Amino acid sequence: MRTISGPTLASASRRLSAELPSTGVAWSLGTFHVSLRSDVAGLADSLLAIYGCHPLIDPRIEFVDFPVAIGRAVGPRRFISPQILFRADGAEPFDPQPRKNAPAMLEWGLNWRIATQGHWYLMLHAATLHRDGRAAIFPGKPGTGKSTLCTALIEDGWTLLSDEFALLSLSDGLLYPLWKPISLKERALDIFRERVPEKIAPWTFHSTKGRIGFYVPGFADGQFAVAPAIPAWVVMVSFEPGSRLRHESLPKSDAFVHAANNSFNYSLLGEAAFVALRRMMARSRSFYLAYSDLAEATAFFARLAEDGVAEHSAA
Amino acid sequence: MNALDEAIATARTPRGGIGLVYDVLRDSRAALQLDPAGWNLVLPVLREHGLLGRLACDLDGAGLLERIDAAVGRHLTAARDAAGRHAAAVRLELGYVHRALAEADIPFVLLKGAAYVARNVAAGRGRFFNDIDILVPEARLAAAEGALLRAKWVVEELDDYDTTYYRVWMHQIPPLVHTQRASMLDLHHAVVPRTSRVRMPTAPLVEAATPVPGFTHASTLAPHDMFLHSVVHLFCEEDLSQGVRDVSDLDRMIREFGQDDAFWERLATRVVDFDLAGPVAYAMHLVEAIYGPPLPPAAARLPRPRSLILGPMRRLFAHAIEPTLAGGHVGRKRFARYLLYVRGHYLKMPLPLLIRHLWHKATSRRAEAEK
Repeated sequence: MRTISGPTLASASRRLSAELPSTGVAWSLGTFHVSLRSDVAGLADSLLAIYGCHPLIDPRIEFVDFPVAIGRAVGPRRFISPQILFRADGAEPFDPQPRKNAPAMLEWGLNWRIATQGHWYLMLHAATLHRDGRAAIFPGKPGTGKSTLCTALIEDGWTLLSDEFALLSLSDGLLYPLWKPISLKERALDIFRERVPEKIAPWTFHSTKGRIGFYVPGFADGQFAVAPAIPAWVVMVSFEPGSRLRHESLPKSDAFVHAANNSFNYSLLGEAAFVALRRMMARSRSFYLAYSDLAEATAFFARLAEDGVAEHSAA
Repeated sequence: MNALDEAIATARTPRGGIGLVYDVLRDSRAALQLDPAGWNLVLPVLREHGLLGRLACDLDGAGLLERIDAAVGRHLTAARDAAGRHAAAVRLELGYVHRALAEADIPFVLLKGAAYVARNVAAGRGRFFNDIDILVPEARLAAAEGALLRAKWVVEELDDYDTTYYRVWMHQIPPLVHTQRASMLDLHHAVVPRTSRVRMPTAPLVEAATPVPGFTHASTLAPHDMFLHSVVHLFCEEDLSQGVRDVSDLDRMIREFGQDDAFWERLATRVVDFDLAGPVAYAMHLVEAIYGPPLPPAAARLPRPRSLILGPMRRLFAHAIEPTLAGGHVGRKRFARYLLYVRGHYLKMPLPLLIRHLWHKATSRRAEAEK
């Protein structure tokens, strides 16, 4: 497996606060390199907490896909309650935010830039994980419990490909890694803060969806993967409080429509998207899964990875 | 050290980034020499100004896209594909507009982006725009609007003030939106507002218009009028946010149309008839300074304006379109934009009307914010 080695963001932590407002700091997310310039106090620490173990990129010798900036908003308001603005390529897509939301704004901003520019991928609103190069794809709207399940699976030995995005290559049909923190809401956040406190970023913020925090998967030295994975399972997941684990095979046509409905750029790419998605469906098994107990769900996926036929067993 | 290496070397200092952007737009072969650091300067600027598709199409047309490093190439290939889809969507929409107006036997002239696509001129390649602009003589305006409404376009709902703004003062009716395809259409009866100090009457433009092959009722402005319209759009309006792209458009038109002496002769006649020596001089100065397209001797026959403010005006426009991402001076650009914003409004409306308009804009924005 191809990996990027070399210095990490954490190894350059002493330079970070000096370089962030001047030249900016660049790092790798896997398939994309990004950079941030910011004069917002304290953002260097947040950056380290989330991306500390990511490879550092030198923009003098490497191309940066998405350079972004977070700056202080100008205007009389700054004297009362300072606000911040996100900028990328001269655009300011969001309303100003309170300064404490700077780390969250970086996450939204990177997502926005990738979703509006990365059109050499079919982008699905989906979490993707892999085990031994075979990937599980969980397409679906927020609130279906896919991020919670994925976090549990990572703790059980699966490797994260991406949380908000599935990046399906239009050319080779493989899924590419986009290493960003997983956002967890309310109860899910509490569960994992109890289990793995060291992997939860040290702040939360309040959005319209409630209290949100970040789980940072992390990886051992030299394990930062940039290799793609083969689509193997497409899972339509649903969190149903109190229910036993249920799963049933899903017709490929239904899974196709579900994935297409959860795509950022399906209609924009037209035929190329159809071809890529059909290829993904042809390679994978698709099924519906309802769960409430994380241990039961992780055990199911462990069996799935082992023999790949669990979906045929009785529900 | 050759000129290009020098350009790349200076690009590492903030000011030089702009030069590098103009280099690749002038001749896409320059892109082959860019190293990752060079691309880190050029790509965000192209993206900011909607010109990534243009460079991608240039490289593709020259057969050079495959030779760009893969990390950058994937951005360019995606931009080229997006440009192709955009042009295809515009052609499809043109067919619908044409059908609606041809049924009512109303000839119309395509303007700006849609015209470039219909004529397949270089200024249209890799260019993105949100609406199709068409022009009909004022006498046919009501009939054209009726025909489009019958074909399921609707006029955007506006308050009384905005309706008056469009219907009484402007050069177009309020924007039309198609009820099924959500495509935007601007129906014009002139290329400049009724209230504008700039004179550019519709009749001679329509008379000189060139038919579009394959369409019975569609035409585009003749090359010299196309160029002039683009100049007026850039140098007489209050919004300069698309300035970098617009100057590149002008460069492409000069390269494409300018080898024909008739282009310059007709342009010179128009400049005199419409009294537009100033704006055309600013345009020629900027295009020459930035891109330096080859100019035939006939170009020298353009009337020169006799004005003391020519020099300062040129500099003002140059600052106003400066791409700040490439190291342009933000404060200077803002100030230049502000002055030109004021000038644009001054040209657009007589002073009493302008005061009323700005007063309305300020108060209605406040009312909206309080809502």
